[in-house]
Amino acid sequence: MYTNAGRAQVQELVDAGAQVVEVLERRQYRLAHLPGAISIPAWELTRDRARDLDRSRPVVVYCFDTL
Amino acid sequence: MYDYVDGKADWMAYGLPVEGDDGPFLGQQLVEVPTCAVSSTVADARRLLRSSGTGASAVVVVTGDGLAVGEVDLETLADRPDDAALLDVMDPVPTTVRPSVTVASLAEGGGGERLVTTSDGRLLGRATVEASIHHDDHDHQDTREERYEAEMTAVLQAVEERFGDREPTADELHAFLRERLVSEGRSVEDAERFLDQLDDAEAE
Repeated sequence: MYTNAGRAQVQELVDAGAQVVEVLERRQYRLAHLPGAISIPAWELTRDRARDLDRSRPVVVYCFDTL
Repeated sequence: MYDYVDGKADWMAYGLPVEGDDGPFLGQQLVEVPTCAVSSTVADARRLLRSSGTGASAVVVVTGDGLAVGEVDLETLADRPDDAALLDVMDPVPTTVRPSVTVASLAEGGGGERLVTTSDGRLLGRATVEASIHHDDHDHQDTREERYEAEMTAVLQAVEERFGDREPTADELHAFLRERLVSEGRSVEDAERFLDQLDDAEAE
């Protein structure tokens, strides 16, 4: 279940210790990513990979833009 | 689970910090710009420029929220009466760029001075970038060809990483390339124009 979040809310979540996941290709991640974000390209985001995340903390996922 | 729907483009366009190999970005080399409120007069702007001590040759007119709505240079100020409203003499809607544009991309585009604003128009400052220098046409040509080959190799690798052995559809490839171009500092419109040109070239 996803909740849409805007920039201000994401900043609050990050400050509060949320895990941040970039789902773009790894080259994009290497160029620039949000501070502390980890890279899990969308096509690799399986249940197994999701188990690597800490379920006790919020998770923020992001792509490049809304399109 | 939260979905930051506006994504990395929004984060970077707002001048927020990022980690990674890209950059430096215009947002990292800003200088302060003299600003005047929308209620200011020509005399206010002249006084500000004289006292700023920065050597600035223009003021930016901003709203109370810091939104840049216009710019007035010394030459314009010189011709106008003291009590003229800046709103009436300013160059409205100045050309701006986002802080997420790389210094290298602006240098390759000819360099120059740009006002830098967030995606919602809030003024951050001014960035000045020198144009890339090429020693002669031969070197220039070699550099361009080398850069083109390196870029094509990187694109092919990225496409393979994204789609694996599967052949992407034309729409998928278009969206992928568009996203890539925008992430490298092009505007969405410029990226679309570039891809249209590629399509036209392929059609010919």
